[in-house]
Amino acid sequence: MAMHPLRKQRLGIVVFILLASAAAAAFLGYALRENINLFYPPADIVAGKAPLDKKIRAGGMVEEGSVERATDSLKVRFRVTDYSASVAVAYEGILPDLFAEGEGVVVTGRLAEDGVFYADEVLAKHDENYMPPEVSEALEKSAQSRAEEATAGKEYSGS
Amino acid sequence: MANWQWFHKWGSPRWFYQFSGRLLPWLAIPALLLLVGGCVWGLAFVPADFKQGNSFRIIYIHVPAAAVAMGGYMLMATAAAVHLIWRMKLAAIVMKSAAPIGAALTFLALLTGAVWGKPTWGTWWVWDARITSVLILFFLYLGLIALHQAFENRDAAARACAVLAIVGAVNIPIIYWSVEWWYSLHQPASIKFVGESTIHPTMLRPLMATLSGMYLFFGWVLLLFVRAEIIEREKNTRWVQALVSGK
Amino acid sequence: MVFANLQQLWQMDGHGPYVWFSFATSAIVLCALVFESRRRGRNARALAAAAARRRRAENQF
Repeated sequence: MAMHPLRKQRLGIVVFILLASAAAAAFLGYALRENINLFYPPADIVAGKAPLDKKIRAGGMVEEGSVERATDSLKVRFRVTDYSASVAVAYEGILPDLFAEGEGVVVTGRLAEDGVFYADEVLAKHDENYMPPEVSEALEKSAQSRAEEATAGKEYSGS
Repeated sequence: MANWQWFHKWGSPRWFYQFSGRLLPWLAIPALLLLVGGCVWGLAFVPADFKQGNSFRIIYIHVPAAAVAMGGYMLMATAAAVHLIWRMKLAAIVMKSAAPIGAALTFLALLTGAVWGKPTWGTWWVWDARITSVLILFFLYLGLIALHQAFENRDAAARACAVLAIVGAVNIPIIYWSVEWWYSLHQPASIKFVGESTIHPTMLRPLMATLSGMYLFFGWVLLLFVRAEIIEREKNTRWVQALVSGK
Repeated sequence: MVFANLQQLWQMDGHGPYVWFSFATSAIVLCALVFESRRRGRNARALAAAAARRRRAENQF
């Protein structure tokens, strides 16, 4: 089953082309590593890694209980978190249907010196979970009852 | 050396033409049944998603188009390598024939993705790593078609295209892992090779139908293009002339 | 069917245009692929038949 030497040489060329282009792609990816990321996570923004007053994107989860809507306009304020840090976002406009507390979001805008992110675009980022509404309700219910059982258990052991 | 005989048989366009003719209905009929059945199932008989509502039904065409566009590229790059190493004529024909199908499927993945993005994300397009790398895949397919046409000489065209196809193969793992390596708007894969898929079984079953239907469809249409190309290249041989004269 | 009637299937709570557009264009593109491959097959057969006729004509002289 020995390969013809000429074919072996051509196989070597094919492997070389593959390795060379993989290396080129790896170097390119390394050089552009920050630019390929679509957004900054809140931890980087709080740590001062994001530029001020320049058009950037921030992404994370909308913090539970942080959404404040104005009653007389489309102005809205909320906090974006990655569960290690959070950034305040101010926005005026229509929010996507999937925008909600505890859901993913990517905002485009400028980071001001006061630490507030003034957004001119808000995109919803959903996760890879797909299920029918009844299943999600059932999951929530079972999670709730498990939490209740856990607290009940604690009370029991505490008394 | 006897073990290589199957390899030479597969390289014979005449043998492949006769063999593939018997294969055609076994690809076409299940492909159409699975695609049409899976789409009807996914459009009308599957509950809406708990967050996205009915727009999620686009998954039944978007994911198969994107997956087969990538799988088709891997097949094309493999054919390119086989052609470069063994100078197999049939491999060059397969490589050339896969490009238009891959281009069409990549176009569909981009288009249905944009249409799905508007109601869910709030935008048609964003330059994140996943979407940009799939756009590069589209340009690779178009580039291969254009490069092949730019050459007068068929063998020179096949060799140049084979090198480009192999270079472009690097893009496939980048597309696949782009959502893991970088922050992107596109979510990670729901169908997992390792571990449990994060799409509910009632929604996964029609997706499996359209996904396998799309693979079969690719195989079917690839054979149709390959057979047309074989006839065109061998039009002056006795077996093709006997075939078209009905003798 | 999860929809009460065809009207609701068509509208899909406002997502109908997005969903139906996606599936309609996909059907068109996939059909176009089949037609194009068959067209190329027909053209190639016509070329081969012409070549065969030429050869037969040459052999008569």
